[in-house]
Order: sequence, then structure tokens, then C-alpha cells
Amino acid sequence: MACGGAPVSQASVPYLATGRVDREGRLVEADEPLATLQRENGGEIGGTLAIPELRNIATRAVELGLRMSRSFNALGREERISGWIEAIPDYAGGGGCLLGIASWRAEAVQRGEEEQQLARVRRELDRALPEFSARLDRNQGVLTAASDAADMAELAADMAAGVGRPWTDFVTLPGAIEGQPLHWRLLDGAACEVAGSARRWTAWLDPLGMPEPGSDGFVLTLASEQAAPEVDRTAPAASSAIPSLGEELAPALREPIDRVITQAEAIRSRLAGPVADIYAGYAGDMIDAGQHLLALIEDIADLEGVDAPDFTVALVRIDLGEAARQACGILGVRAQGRGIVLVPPVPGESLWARGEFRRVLQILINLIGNAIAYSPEDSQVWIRLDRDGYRARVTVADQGRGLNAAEQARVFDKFERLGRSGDGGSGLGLHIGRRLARAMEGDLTVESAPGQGARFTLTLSAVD
Amino acid sequence: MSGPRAPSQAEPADHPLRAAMARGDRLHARSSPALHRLLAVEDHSLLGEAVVAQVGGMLADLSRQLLATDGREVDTATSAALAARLAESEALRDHCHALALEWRLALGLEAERALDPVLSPLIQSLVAGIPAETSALAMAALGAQARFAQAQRRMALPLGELPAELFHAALLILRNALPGEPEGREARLRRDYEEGSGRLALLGRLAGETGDLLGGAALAVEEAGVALWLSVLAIRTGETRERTIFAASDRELGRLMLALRAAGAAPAEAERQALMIRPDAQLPRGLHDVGTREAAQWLAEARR
Repeated sequence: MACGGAPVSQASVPYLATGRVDREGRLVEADEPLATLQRENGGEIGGTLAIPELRNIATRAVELGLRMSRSFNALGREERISGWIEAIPDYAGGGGCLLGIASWRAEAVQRGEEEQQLARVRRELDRALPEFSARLDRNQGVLTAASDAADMAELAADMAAGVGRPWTDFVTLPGAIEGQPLHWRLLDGAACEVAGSARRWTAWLDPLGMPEPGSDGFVLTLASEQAAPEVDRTAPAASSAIPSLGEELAPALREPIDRVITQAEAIRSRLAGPVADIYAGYAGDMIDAGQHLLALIEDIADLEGVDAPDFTVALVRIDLGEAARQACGILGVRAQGRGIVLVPPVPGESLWARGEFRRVLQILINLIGNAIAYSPEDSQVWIRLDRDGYRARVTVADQGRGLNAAEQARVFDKFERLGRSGDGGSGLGLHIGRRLARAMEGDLTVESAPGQGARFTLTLSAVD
Repeated sequence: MSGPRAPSQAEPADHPLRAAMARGDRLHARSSPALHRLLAVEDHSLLGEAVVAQVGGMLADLSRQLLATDGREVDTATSAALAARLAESEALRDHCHALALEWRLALGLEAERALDPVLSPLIQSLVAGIPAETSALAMAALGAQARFAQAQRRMALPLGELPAELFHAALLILRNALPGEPEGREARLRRDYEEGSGRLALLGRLAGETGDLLGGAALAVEEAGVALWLSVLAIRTGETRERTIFAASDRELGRLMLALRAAGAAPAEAERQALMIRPDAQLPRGLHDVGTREAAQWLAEARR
């Protein structure tokens, strides 16, 4: 000690382990257990000191040129480490410092509250890296589904084809009652079986929306403790030289973006613990940006699909009334958020036409989504059915500012935004909609006058 | 996502404990500049507070030590000028202020509870106990605490007892106050500095050890003694030790009770501890609705 008081010999504590950090902050030498902790924190011997608190202390000691002696906490793979470290700057001129571990307590993270915490962390991991995830509306109806596990592809495809139906229709919940899904709290953590997968799955439901959890829908994730079955990777590579966004890139992009959105949702809804409002706001921005990207990818993939020469639709007898009501159900929350009332055809009102239900739903969701986005707040959007001889028509009418003749001429063009930007649109929706309508032997048209709102009409062949 | 207990009927932001904590914090925020002004005037009689004198004494002692490193005579005027510059550093002021309050707390408990400011029951059992490393550590901490008590009685503070950041700050102040000084002296001071042999480091290490060995006893001031108790509380709540001391010296003790709760004490035990520190305190109510995690969360939010 510099001055005052008798010197204490505590400086010469026999260290449990030592390490050396060089001028660049790399841990160039380390005894066990320091070396293992470094690796478990994602570092390596010879690489940057990766244990956060130790790095801070080492940096500080070098900056100040002072021997420091501090407590530290760190996380190993299965243990929480707390201990005491001394950092001794290299006065000989090397520029780094020596680390001496004076005490080291490793606690398996599994007692009482900590066990719950660990369980929560595991759960967060399941959520963060789900093999299957889906977005649900507030009635637990499926909106989107995605999976990167081979044995879950069938479920993802089934759900994609059955958008709007409760997710519980697609899996087997042992001991569950048929019919409406139970309250989400009862289903959260439920075991379930999936057709096409031999693994046991656990379903997690994360409610979205404030103040009533679930008012904005849910994120459904399915997690399994069993490893995914081996996939045959010897399948021949795609022959085309340039990867097509629709067939090859879109699935690959969708999954990481889905993860970003799921993670951001977890942050925004404070599932991983409390966060300040400002960060919840940032998470909201991430979600919006992610959803925009996702929509853009879907649109571009769709566009490639409908532009392809071999694009076909399966024309069957479908009910336009049902499609309109489902589309309104899916967009109800978004409309409510802007104070817009959707007026779908009354239940029981049907209009039968030849088309592909999924595609009609896609067109209507796009039309109603646009109407919600471009209508003034507290206005109404009507969805009307009518039949004129052989033509069945469904019309989406809003009270927005309307389109002039020049705009009406351009509105179906590719990437046409009519001067709008920053609202998350890709400018592809109406173009794709028209292509789809024409593929179904129908058309998508617009009627409007400035100040009078816009009326988009999907026309298909009527059937009895 | 709140703690295991049901939230109180009041809005969390309006909880009486949080309000008390905020009031305590505001008071402390105001008291530090005031203390600065008090230190700037030479006549302390108006303030008459033992604490202020104690802080002034410690800063003067630090100044003397900074100047006396070559064993030469220290001229009083230079020393007083340097002490005044040290007093301008908020961090140094706060640190000395906290130590003075800690010492007063220890004297108060000695008077009222016959608790030895140096040797507490817990330290005694650690010194006598096994394992040997803990015993040696407890012995070293005991020695450091004895020197601290001696130094406080003389209103002194050994330079080497400052935490690294403050030691560094003091050296910078010295460098700026006396620009002509040879550089070698500062380099030697740095080289001789050994944070690990200081009282705060030893208490900190011991606080870590007691977590395993003695669990709850370390959170009872009458067992651990003021010094170790403060270190345990600071480590378990992630607060600075200074802030923990200010919390224990606050009139309402809102922050202290939340800290005890966050450190794992049961509500009744936290209240008992608060009354031990200040028997006449009007404790804010509502601790029984606060879970440990919630308490930790509130402390963390107040830190921002």
C-alpha cells in the first residue's frame, strides 16, 4: 500500500488460476477454469477476452495503470460463476495485464427461483429458435406459419392452406376437446402431436397486445426436445444458375426474418423481463420493418409465381361471401387500430363463383388492407357482393381521397406506389391481384373519383 | 411478469416505497452540492455536523499523503489548496461522505446495540472457522477494519484505501494542481497501489464467500457488523457500496428496505433490519406486497 496503515500480505493470495491479456485485449494464456469460461462465452485462447465483466476490469486496470481487485459475475454454459479477480497491469511495458482469479464459485443454475429462471431461459431459447412458429389472430386462428424442420413442413403447408382456422385444428392435443380452442393460458405449454412428425412437441403461446394479452393475437411456437430427423442432403442441386427469389430465396429469407419478428415481439411484449418503454418502441420498429420485408418477399415471390408461364390456379366452386368475411376477420384488429369499421357481407350471405379460395382471400386481404391504410380514421370500409348474369363481383369500397383518372390507369402497374412511401407497401399487391384475378378467368378493376373514395372490384365467373 | 406476489392495489409507480425511495434519492442529490458548499467554507461551526468535519478531515488527510510521498515536509497552504481541489470532485466527496456515514452508523449501533464496530459475531466465527482460506481472508478483513476504525477516529483515510477509479482521480487532481511535479512520483504511486489489499476489496471478497457459508446471517447487521453487512447488501443488489450507505442513512429507509428485499430478505426481516438501523424510523408501508425481483427491478430503474 502506498501510504498509511500496515501493509497487508493479501496481495500475494495464491491464485486459483491466472491468465494473461495482451495489449490488444486478447486472452493469450489462461489456466482452467478460466480457459473453459472463455470458450463458453464464445471466445478462444488467443482471441479477445470474451467474458464481459472480466474484459471491463482488465481494460480498466490497463487504462488506469493500477492493480485492481474486483468481484465479477459470468455465465458459463450450465453454471453461473461469481468470483473475485485481480488485474495487474504489465508495468514492464508489454501493455497488457495479468489476471489472477482469487475466488471462483460455480453454481449450477437450478434451485427454486433460479430453476424457474433457467426454465424461462430455455423457453426463451425455444421461442428464439423455434423449429415451427406461426402467427395467430386473437381467436387463435392461423395467419401465417413457417418451419425449417423437414418433419414439420406438412403442418406448415396445411396451415398455410387453412388460414383463418384455429391452430388446434391442425395438431392433436391429447385429451383436448374438439371445437373452439381453449383459453390460451390453458394451451400454453401443452403437449401436442403433429401429423408427419414422430417427435413430441410442446406448444407455447405468446400473447400480443396491450392491455389485454392476446388482443393483437399470438405467436405460436412448437418446440421439441428431440432432435430433428436427418434430412437426405444428397438431393440434386437446382439446375438454374441464377437463384429464383420465389422458389429458392424466399423460404430462406422468410425464416430469419420470422425469427427477427418473433424476437422483437418477445422484447416488445416484455416476455424476457421488463424493458424500458423506449426499447419496446425500438422493438416495435423492428417488427414493422421485419413485417414489411416479409411482405415484400412474399409479394416478389408471388409475382414470380404468377408471371411464370406454367402458373395455374385450381378453379373450384367457392363462396365469395365466406372469403370476404374471413378477410375482414383477419384484418379486424388492424382496422380497429385506426378506428375503421369493416362492413363485410352479413353471415349467411353467399355468392358462389369459380376461383381458388386461397387466391381470392389473398386479393381481398390486399384490397381491404389498402383501404384500411389509405382511409381516414373513423371511416368505414364496405365489402359488397353482387351478381350480374354470369359475373360474380365482390367490391371493396372506402371513404379515402379516391383516385383520379391518371392514377386509376397506373394503379395496377408493377411497383406503382402513386407517390406514397414509408408506409410499408411494396407496390406489388394490386399488380399481383390483377394477375391472379385474370388467371382465375376474372378481373380486378377500379372505379373512383377524387374525394369520393375508391371501389375495387374483383370479378369472377358466377356459378350456381 | 411481476414477482410471485400479487401487485398492490396502488399503481406500481405510486407505491409508497418507491415514492419514499425517490424522495430519499432527491434529498441525496441535493445534499451533495450542499456538502460541497459546506466544505468550501472554513468555519464548520454553523453546520456543526460531525459528518462534514469527518469528510473535510479525510480530504485533508488524502491531500497530505499525496504531497508527502517523498518524505518531505508538507507546507500547510499547498495541502489546504489541494484538499479544496479534491473536494471539488463529486466522486471523491461522495466516497468520503459515505465512509463518514458508515462510521457514524457503526458508532450508533455500538452505542445502542453494543455491536463492536470492528469485530462482529459473523467475522469472529469466520476467523475461527474453516476453510482456512476463508479464515485468512476474514482475518485480513478484520485487520483492515481495525485500521479503518482507527483512521476514522483520527478523521483520516489512507490513500491506498481508495478504489482504483478514485485513486486515479486523486492522482489526476494532484497532477493538475502541481504541474511541475516529476512524473516518477505518480508512476511510483500507481505501482505501489494494490486495490486487493484495501478494506473494501477484502470485505467484498468476504461478502462473496459468506453467500455460500452463512446465507441469511450476512443480511443481519447485528451478526455481520455494519461494514460487512453493507458490502453484502451492495454485492447482492448490484448497487455501489456508497449508494447502499446513503440508503441506510436516509430518514425513511425506503431504498434500504427495497435493497434488503432485493438481496433476499423476507419483508418482516427487512423491516426489522431497518428498525435496527433507525429505531425511531417511520417506515414506509407496503413492503409485504413487493417481491424480491420487483424490488430489484425498482432499484435498477431508480439507478437510471
